Amino acid sequence: MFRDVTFGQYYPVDSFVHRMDARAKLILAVLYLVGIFFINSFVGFAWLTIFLLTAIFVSKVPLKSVIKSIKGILVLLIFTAILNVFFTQEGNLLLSWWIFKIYDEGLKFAAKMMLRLTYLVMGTSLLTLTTTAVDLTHAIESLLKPLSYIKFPVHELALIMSLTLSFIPSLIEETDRIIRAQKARGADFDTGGIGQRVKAFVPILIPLLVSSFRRAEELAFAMNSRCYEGSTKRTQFRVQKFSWRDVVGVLFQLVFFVAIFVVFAMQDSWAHVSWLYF
Amino acid sequence: MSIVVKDLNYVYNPKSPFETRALHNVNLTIEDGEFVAIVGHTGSGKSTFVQHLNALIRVQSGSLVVNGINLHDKKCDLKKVRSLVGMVFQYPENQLFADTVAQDVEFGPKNMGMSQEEIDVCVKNAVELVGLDWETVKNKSPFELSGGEKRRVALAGVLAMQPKVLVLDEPTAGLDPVGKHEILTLVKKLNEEQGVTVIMVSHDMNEVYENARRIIVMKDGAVVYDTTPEDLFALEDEIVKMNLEVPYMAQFCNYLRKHHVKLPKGVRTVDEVLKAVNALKGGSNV
Ligand SMILES: Nc1ncnc2c1ncn2[C@@H]1O[C@H](COP(=O)(O)OP(=O)(O)OP(=O)(O)O)[C@@H](O)[C@H]1O
Ligand SMILES: [Mg+2]
Repeated sequence: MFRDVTFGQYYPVDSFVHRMDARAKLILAVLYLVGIFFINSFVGFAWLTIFLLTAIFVSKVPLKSVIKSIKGILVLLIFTAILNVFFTQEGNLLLSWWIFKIYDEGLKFAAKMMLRLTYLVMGTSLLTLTTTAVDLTHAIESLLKPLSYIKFPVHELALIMSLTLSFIPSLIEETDRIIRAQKARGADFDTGGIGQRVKAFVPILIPLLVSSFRRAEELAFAMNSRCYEGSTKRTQFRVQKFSWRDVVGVLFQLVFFVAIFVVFAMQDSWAHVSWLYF
Repeated sequence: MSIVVKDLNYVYNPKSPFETRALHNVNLTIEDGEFVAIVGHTGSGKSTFVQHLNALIRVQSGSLVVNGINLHDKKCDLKKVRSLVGMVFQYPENQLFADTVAQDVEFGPKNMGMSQEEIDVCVKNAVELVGLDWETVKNKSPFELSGGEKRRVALAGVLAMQPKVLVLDEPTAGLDPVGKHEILTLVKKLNEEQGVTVIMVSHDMNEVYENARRIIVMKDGAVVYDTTPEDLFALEDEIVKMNLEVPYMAQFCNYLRKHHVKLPKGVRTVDEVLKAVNALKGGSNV
């Protein structure tokens, strides 16, 4: 039942995007996230759509899998939309009913906010769909390396991250197993009031906690008995290398995002081109 | 009343890159009171199959009827099925959660909606059945027991629901020889004295050979053999090809037969073989 989570799940196919260096993808993802906040027109979002669709197409991940990732923030989306619609009091009044007043600017603002959030999540999930968690942690470690000169424990941080990530699948599996075992004893997680449902989770949580502690202890033992020491210089099993793919990928994204930044920077002098800022 | 499986197929994560075909046209019937073992190489679909029996995995295609309940029917009575078919998973001690042994064992019966008097009786009986002393153990925390004791408490938690069918997925994994023997003796007793149908998944061919009266061999999600232990393990070469081992007693009997000792059919234990050989001694030259 927990296997349906798409957000952050690696989609194993071989593609241009999959083969790009994780560090390049990570930097591009950050650029993407920042860039989204410089878009404030529908034309800009259309421009971004072209970029995102191309990237998804090249990654060979089915569009459906990427769109599925929005499911997780659906509530948030609707909530922000409603807030924006009702609390923006600018532009032309479209509708007025009791204490509610809806303005056209409010609708526009809400629509843009929803687009922004949706694209935010779709972009980041494209990163995790095409990059394994292990590669991602290595990339983060490598990018944070400069911080180790000011005694920041980069390696330890990366280790904690990769251990956490590597335990997620086994925790999910364990949870699944415990749920099945308790279901076999007639446990019911789907009916009853809130109180009853919360109580129904005790038989899952306690065994899960017990086994997590046991796993953590066993792991610590195993690492200790092999004299693991984080601070000494360690080499990596998988060497990260930039390739022509990364150059192409970066250039491609730059084309789109330089345009976005330019349009943003020139908004004062180009304001008369109204379609550009609609 | 019995278990009837027809054309059962199951695919994990259909239509995704993780798609795995786990069951392939499984057809079989298990009558009341049978002791059936399911064996097969790892990943052959044993666990997937047995979890169908109490509707933990719902039927994708095919039909499955357990004691007259149609499990392929979306709206069958899940509570009834789960009280009818008790399921003991691998390492069942990992599912213990309550403060005391008594509370943990009564989890199942409580969910089944039994009355408190009934529950008290069932719980006490189940704990004693698995060979633990009720008075000393009832107020202990399940987490302070030894591994073998924990497993017995978990087993009691299933038995307290008084299932008519008991499904065990590798019940003796990770136990010492004495612990193994105790669990198997208990299961056999339930089968023989109370007529509980036992379906046991196991990798230990020796324990299968000694206990089961019928063996189902699975390979890549399909049933490839469904026969008695004696007939199955007479096919030594086939068994080895499927990455299974031949039990010691079967190897021994096969060896004797190869060397022209005319053992009668159906001898399995050391005693039976000894008796047969002694009986043969009179007539032929051993
Ligand atoms: N939850 C799951 N999701 C996806 N695939 C699964 C899942 N559970 C099992 N499988 C796959 O289905 C197939 C059958 O698995 P199953 O667990 O039924 O085998 P098994 O015979 O019980 O093996 P073992 O002896 O190792 O317990 C395997 O190929 C396995 O990888
Ligand atoms: Mg299994």
